[in-house]
Amino acid sequence: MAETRFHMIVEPCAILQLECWADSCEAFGAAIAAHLGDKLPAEVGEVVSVAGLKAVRIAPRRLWLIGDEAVPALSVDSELGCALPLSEGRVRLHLSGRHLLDVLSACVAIDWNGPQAAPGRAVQTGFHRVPVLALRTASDACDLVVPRSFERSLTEWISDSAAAHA
Amino acid sequence: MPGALRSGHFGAGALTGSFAPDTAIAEGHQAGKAAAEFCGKTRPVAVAGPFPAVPGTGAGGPPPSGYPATGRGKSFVDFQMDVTAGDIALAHREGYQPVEHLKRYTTLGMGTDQGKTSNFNALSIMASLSGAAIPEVGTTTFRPPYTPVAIGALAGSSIGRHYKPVRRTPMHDWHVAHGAEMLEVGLWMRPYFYRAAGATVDEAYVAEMRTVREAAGLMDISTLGKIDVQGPDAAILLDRVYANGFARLPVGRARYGVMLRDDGIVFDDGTTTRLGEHRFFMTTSTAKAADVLSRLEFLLDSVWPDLRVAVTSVTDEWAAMSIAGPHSREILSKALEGLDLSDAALPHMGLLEGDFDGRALRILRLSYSGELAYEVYVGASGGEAAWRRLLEAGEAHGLKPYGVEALGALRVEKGHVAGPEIDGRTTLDDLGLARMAAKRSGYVGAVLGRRPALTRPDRQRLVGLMPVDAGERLSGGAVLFGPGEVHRGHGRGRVTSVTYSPTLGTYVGLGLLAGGAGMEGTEVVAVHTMKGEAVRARVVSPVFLDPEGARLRG
Repeated sequence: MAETRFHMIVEPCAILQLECWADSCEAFGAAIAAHLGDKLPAEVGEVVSVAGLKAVRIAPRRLWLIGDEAVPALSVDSELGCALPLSEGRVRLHLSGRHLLDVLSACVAIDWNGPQAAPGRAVQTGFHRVPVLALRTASDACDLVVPRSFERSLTEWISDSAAAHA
Repeated sequence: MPGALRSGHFGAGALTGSFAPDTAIAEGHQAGKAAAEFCGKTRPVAVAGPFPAVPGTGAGGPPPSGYPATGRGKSFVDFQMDVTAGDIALAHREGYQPVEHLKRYTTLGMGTDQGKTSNFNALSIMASLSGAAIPEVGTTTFRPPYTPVAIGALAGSSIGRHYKPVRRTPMHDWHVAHGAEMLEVGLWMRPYFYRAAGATVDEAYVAEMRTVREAAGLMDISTLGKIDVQGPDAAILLDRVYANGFARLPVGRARYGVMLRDDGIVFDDGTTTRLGEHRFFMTTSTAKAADVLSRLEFLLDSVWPDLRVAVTSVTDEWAAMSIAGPHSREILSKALEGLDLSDAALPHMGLLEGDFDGRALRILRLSYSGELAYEVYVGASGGEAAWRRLLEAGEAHGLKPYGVEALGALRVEKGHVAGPEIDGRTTLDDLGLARMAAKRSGYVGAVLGRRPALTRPDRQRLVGLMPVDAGERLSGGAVLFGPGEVHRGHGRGRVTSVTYSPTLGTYVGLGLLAGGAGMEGTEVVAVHTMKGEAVRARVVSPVFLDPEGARLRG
């Protein structure tokens, strides 16, 4: 049975950003996949689970490895690409509840019924023109990865929107 | 009018689709009655109809087509594009009768309303002139919105206090809890001043400046833009985007850099530190952080796609604080035990990396205030803990926090340029920074920066200003005139930044003045017409304090 009440939990978000150069993406992807022991997402918005992490392709040449705790450091050949820890600068908002999509429709312009935002997919969008990553985890649940400095402002807005659907 | 009218709204005539005057009169009467009843006024009215017929009108339907009977002057048809009935007649005479030709000849319907308010009338006129029915004249491609759309629907729903998001630094709650008067700076909230230093900003900032000059001050600088620049070609990118070179910057050292726009005007400044052979840590001004990142991304994607460089905003990754003042090194040593902060280990413009409670730590020895100073960067989640640690360690040394007003005042005393001088009109030379790029070329803005208008000797250039009478107050925005000149027009320059200098005991200011440094020693009059001020000021060097830099070297 779907959760009826709206829930929001704010948590740290461990992220390692990986980026390849224009002419080295294939080799870079192969090296990272070999290191993690699994296939990486091929298209933007695709999410795959690898080594206990979520690998999200957020741009054609850019991946995020997202973990609940820490993301292990990866040694990257600078001729192929680079890695950058981003675990301090963003927080994850776990959102769930029957009215989730109604609550979020007041804040972000995402077609939640479209294939790009289906459960298991990731969408980058502007929330208040703030860049956020939406990870649809279930039909009535999603995670928003938001910049730390905007966290309180965005959670206040979501709370106000949720109150209208309480 | 599509859809139903809202409660309390009453329509009549063309609004409801009734074009005939007598119908409109009857509907108007009915709408008036309904409005009166809605307002609780139900008194009988004298005229209840039937109304006299209006000669020459039918029972309804759209108005007849035809060239309007114009009097003298113009009859505007398209109010957005200034198309008149005469223009349509001219188009007809010139042979631009097909509707697509009419549109392009007159610009009819090319405004933001896409002809929604004008096309019907215009086509009606053309039909009349052509002796054809309106449908025979045709219509141009019909574009959305197909029905009127409220501006609110395009702008988004009302979201009240959420209209503008707020950015908070990792130390925000500490500032609020400790009496900071907060100031909106773009989307950021920053401490303006601390009430413990004074009841008003004028009292507080001067006291905070004294603390920095005589003991030590701590400033939250987390709002600075921070960009991670990585890749085998990172140094090449920086060499091209900064007017001064970065390729030879040693690992572990920082350098002040200035970026130009394509047109040679100064875009932004900041400090970039070399973390490794292929990795740099760039800081930008708070205001230009997003613009600089966007600019770098544009250049990498469109101009130099061959460069193997990744740029990423890490502004939110780091809590940043500046500790400045003669006691800053002792305090930092006490707060972060085990770090060697000696001149040998951490010279001016040097970098020290370490660990703070399990989080990354970077210490840069940089000075904006002109004092011995360090910028301390800690992983954002540890920002408040680091801030508290520094304050505890500095208590015995007189360390106190200071706000953006004091920060701005300290840099004016030191003659550093900032937003008021980097105002989208000034060149490197205007700001006294031309030496940085003297022998270089190939950087963004180099070519167009050599245009005659940007190198004219009479351009307004950076100067310092001090009132002749030390008791007088300079005002930012004042226009500079020569002694005896009529105070009219744009004068010879302007005052850009002003502060009271507790060290010098007078107001001091930065300004842009025709003749620049060549005018030092002369006198000008700073006129602020809105305030009714005319203050005599002496032109001096823009560096009011410690021009040799002895203080910042400890």
